[in-house]
Amino acid sequence: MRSRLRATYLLTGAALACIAVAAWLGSGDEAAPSGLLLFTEVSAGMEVSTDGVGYPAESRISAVDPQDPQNTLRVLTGDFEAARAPYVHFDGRRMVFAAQREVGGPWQIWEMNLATGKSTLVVPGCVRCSDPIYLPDDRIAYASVIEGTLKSALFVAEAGASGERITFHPESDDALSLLSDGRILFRVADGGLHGGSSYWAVRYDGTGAERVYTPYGFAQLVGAARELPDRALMFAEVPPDGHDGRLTSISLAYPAEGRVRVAPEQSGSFASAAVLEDGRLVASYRDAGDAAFGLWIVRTDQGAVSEKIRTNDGFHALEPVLAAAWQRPLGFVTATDLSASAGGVYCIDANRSDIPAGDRASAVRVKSPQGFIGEALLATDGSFNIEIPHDVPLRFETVDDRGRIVRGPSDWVWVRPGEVRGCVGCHVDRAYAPPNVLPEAITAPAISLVSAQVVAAPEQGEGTR
Amino acid sequence: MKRIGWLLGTGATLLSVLVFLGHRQAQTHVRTIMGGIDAPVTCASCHVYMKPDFAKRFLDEDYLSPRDLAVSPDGLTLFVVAEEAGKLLVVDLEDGRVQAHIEVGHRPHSVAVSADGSTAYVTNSWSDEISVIDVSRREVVRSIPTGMEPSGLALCGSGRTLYVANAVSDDVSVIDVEEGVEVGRLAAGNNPYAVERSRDGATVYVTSRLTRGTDFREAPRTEVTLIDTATRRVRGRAFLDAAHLVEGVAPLSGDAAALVTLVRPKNLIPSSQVQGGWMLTYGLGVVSSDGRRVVQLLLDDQNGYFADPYDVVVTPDGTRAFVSHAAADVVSAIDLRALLQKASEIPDERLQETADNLGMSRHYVLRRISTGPNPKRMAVSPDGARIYVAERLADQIAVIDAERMEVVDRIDLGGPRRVSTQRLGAQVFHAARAFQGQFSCRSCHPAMDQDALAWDFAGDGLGLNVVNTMTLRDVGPTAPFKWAGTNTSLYMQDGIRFAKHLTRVDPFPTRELRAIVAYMYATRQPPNRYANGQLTEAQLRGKSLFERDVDNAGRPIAAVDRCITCHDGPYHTVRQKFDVGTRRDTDTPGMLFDTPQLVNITESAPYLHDGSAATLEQIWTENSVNDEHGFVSDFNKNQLNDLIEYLRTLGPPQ
Repeated sequence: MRSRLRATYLLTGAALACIAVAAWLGSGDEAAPSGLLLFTEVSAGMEVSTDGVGYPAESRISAVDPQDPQNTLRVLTGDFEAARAPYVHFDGRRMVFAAQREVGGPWQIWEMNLATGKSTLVVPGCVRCSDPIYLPDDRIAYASVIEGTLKSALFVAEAGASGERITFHPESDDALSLLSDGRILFRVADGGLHGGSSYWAVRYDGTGAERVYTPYGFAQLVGAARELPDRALMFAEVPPDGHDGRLTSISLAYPAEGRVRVAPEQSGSFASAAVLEDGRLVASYRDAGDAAFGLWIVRTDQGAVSEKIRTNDGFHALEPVLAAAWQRPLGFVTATDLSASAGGVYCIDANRSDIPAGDRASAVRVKSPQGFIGEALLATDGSFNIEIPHDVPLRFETVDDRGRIVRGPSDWVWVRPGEVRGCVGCHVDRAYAPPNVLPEAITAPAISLVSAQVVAAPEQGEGTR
Repeated sequence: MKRIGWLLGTGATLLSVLVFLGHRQAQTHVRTIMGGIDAPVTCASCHVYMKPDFAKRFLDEDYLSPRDLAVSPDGLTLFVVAEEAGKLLVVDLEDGRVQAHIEVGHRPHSVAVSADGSTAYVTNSWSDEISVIDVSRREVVRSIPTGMEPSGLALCGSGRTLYVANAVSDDVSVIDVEEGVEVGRLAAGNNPYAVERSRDGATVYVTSRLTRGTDFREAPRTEVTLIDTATRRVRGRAFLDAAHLVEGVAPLSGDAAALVTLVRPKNLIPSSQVQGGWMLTYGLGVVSSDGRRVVQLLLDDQNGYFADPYDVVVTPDGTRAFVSHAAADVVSAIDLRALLQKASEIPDERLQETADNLGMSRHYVLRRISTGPNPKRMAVSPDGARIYVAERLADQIAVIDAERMEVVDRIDLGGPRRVSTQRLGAQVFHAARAFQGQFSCRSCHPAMDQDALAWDFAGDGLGLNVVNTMTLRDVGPTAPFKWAGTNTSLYMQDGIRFAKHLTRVDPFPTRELRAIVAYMYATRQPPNRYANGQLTEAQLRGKSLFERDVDNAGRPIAAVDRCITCHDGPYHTVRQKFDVGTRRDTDTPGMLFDTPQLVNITESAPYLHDGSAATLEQIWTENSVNDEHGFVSDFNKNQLNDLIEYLRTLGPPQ
C-alpha cells in the first residue's frame, strides 16, 4: 500500500514536472536575432531623392550581421511585393514596417516577429502609410497620405485599429523617430516660411508641436533623424546647391547651436545612420563612383567612412536600424479632451521678440490656410489669451493700432481639443524659458476666436489613402 | 458518497458566495474610504503602507543618509554627517573605511572642521544645538545651544567664531567656540540654510531658501546675507529676483565673490505645459562682492533639466566648479572662468532675460557626471584632485576625479544594502520624474515641507484656483488632501491626475506609488520650539481665546465661529471643508476649503488656500475681516497677538 502511494506521488510529481517544463518551453519566444542590422533595400535604378524613397516598388527589408565577415544577407520580407522603413520594438524581438503585399496593393503597416519571421497587419485601412514607429505605450505612429492631396500627416493607432490624426500642418509630415523624452521627431517637408524642410517634435497626442531644427540655407533633410545615446540627433541633409547628402548631427541640448558635419572629409553622399551595439556609427553611404548606397562604418574621429559592412551594386542599402532591445522612454497620460470644442493659446508678451520692430503691437491676428480667423486686443502688458479652433493649422501675427503688421506670421501651429499652449513672445528664441510674471490677459476669460467658417481637418482615422 | 458530494458542492457554492460578497464588500469599503479608485489598491495599500509604525518595523531599515561632509586639512580623513542615523562618521580616506561612528544630536545637518583638524562641529537641526567633537577622542565634548533648526555653519576668525544658519528662527547664530556660547544673533533671510566664508575670511555668506517680502502673486525674491566677520555685523543683503531654494554657496575671489545654487520657479504662469522650462529651471547665481549685482545663469539646456541643485564647490585653483543636482543624480562640471566671463558680459538691463536662457549652459558646462541617488553636499580634497559627493539615498560617497571629471571610486558607509519600501519611496520622491526631468516632488516640497509659493495649476483653467503649497510633514493622518479636499487618499493625490496635469509623464508604477505613500506616512514634523513644557502667560491667554465660546462681552459664540470647532484633534484639523470667507472670484464658485493642520504653523507661511496672507496676523486683519474665519472682530491687538502666540505652540502629537 505504501509503495503504491509512493509510486503515485512519484508519477504525479513527474507529470507536474513535465507540464512545467512543457509550459516553460512553450511560453518562450524563439530567440530574436540580437545585433543584426536591418535595412531597406531599394533597386539601384531608383534615384534616392531628398524626399526619401517614398513607396518604392520591389523594395525589401533585409538583415546582415555586422560582425559576420561573410556578410550573409537575410531577406526578411520575401512574402511582400515591397517593404521598407523597419523600426525595432523596445524588446528587440519585433519590428514594424511599411509594406505592400501585392503589386498595386495598398501600403500598410505590418509587424514582424524577428525570431519567427511571421508578419501581422497592425494598421488596416491604410492606402499609403509609411515610416511607422513604436510608441512608449506600444501603440504605433506612422505617416499617411491625406486623401485628395499629395501631403501626409502623422497618425497614431492601436494595433488592429484605425489611426487618429495628430499633426495638422498644411505641409507634409513624415520620417518619424522616437526621442528619449517620449516625443515623436518628424520631418516637415517644404517647411513653411523657410521653404526647405525641418524637424519638429510632438507629443504623441498631437500636443506641444514645436520646431526642433531647420537646416541652414534651405537645405533638404533626408529621411528620419535618429537620436544617439549622447542626446545627439544624427541625420543627412542635402545643401541647396548640391546633390550629396551630408551626415550631420546636432545636440538636442542646444538644437540651434553646435551643428556638426560628421564626416566632412568624406566625398560622396550619405542618406541615413544608426548606432551598432558596440557604439560604432553605421551609415548609408555611396561614393561618387558607386552604383548604390551601401552600409559603412563611419569613424567620427577621422571624419570619414572606414569599413564596409554591406554593398550591392543592384540595391541601395538604406534606413539601417539595429535589431536589439533599447530603453523604452516614459510615456504620458494625455491631458487633451476630445469632447472639447476648442483649444487655447496665451502669450506672455507679444511685444517681446528677437526681431526688432519700430512699432508696438496692440492686437494679435489669427489666420488659417482658408483665411482670417479673428483678432484679439493685447492686454497692456502685451499678453493675450485666446480660444481657437482645434486641429486646424493656424498662424499668428501682431498688428499695431492702424492694423499694420508688426511681426509675423508665425510658423503654422495647431492645438488639440482642450490643449492650451503658452508662448513667451512673438519670434522669441526657443531657448528662452518664460519669465515668472503674471500675464494680465489670464486674469480675464479667454477671448474666443472660434469660427464656424473654418474648414475642419479630416476626422480621426478618416481621409487617409 | 452522494451525501459527501452534496456537502462538497454546497460548501463550494457557499465559499464562492462568500468570496463574491467579501470582494464586493471590500470594494465598497475601499470606495468609501478612498472616495473612488483611480489607482490600483489592495488591502495592503492601506493596512500596511499607511501604517508607518508597522511599516517602519517590518518594511524599513536603519539607513545612514549622508547629507554633509568635510575633509580634514591633511586630506586623510572624511567627516560625514549621517542624518537619519544621528551620527558623525569618520572615514579613513586611505583605505576608504569607516573608522568611527560618533553619536551626535537629533537630525544632524552639517559639519565643519577646525583648521588644525582637532575639532569637528555638527549642527543638530532638530535639537537646536551644535555638537563639539574631539576628533582624536572621537566623542562629543560639548553641546552649544543655537537658534531654531541650525543648518549650515562655517568657522571664521582663526577658528574661534562659528556662524550658524538657523532655518526656522530666520537668523544666524554667532558662536564663540572657545567660550562655547552664542555671542550674537543676526537677522537673515527666510529659511537661512548654507553658510560659507569668503576666501580672505572677511565675509560670511548665508543663503536663504525661501522668498521674503514679496506681495501676493509676485515672483519670489530670496536673500543672500553678507556678514562682516571683523565686526560680526550684516554688511549687505544680496537679492535673487525670481529665484529661491538657494541651498549651496561657494566662495570665489575677485569681484565675483560667491557662487550660489538656485531654482527659478514659474509659479505665476499657468502650468499649461512643462516643455520649454515652463515649470522650473535651475542654475547658479554669481554674487558680487558688494552684493549689489547677482547674475543668474541656468545649468539646464533646451530639452533637459538638472533639477534641485543642492551644492556647489570650487577647486582651489579656481578653474572648475562642481554642482550637485540632487534630483537628477548628476554632478555638473563647470568651466568656472567661462562662466564668470559670461556673467561679466551681461549688462544689468538684460540680467533677468538672460537668467531664462536655456542655451547659456553650453558656454560653461563641461560634463554631466552621473552619481548615485540624491547627491547632496560635496567636499574638495585640499589638493583639489578629488571631489567627494554624499550620495544620500545610497549611503555612499562618490569620489570624482576633478581633472577627468568622472567617478573613480565609491566609499561604502556600511548602510543596509536592501532598498526598503520607504527608502524606495524616498528615492522616488527625490527623483526628477517629470517630463524631461524638469522637477521632482521635492522641488516644491523641500525637506517634505513647502516652498512658500502659490501655484496656478492649469488643469481647471488659466488663472483660476491658485493654490498655496502645503507641507507634507505628518500629512498622512490629515486626509482629505488638496485645499479643496477632493483627494481622499495619497494614492489618489499622487496617481493618474498628478501625472496627467503635473509631471506630464506616465504615472508612478504601483510599486513606486505604494512606496511613496509609505514614505509620506512615515514623514514627521520636527518638534515644536514654542511650547517649552509650560505655556507662557500670553500663550495661555491665546489658548483661552482659541477655545472660547463667549466673546469679550460675554455673549455666546456660535460653534461654527469658534477656532476649536474646526481646528481640533491631534493635528488641529477636523478634516472637513468650510467656507471661511477667503474664496476669490478666481476660485470655483461655491468651493469650500479643507481645514489645514496647524502643526508648527509658523514654519509654513504664507497662509490660506492661495497664500494671500503673508503672516498669521494678516489672516484676520486683511483676508477674512467679516468674522467668517472665526469670530475675532471683538479682539484688540493684544488679544490677536496672544492668539498667535498660542498658535505657535501647536506641535505634533506626542
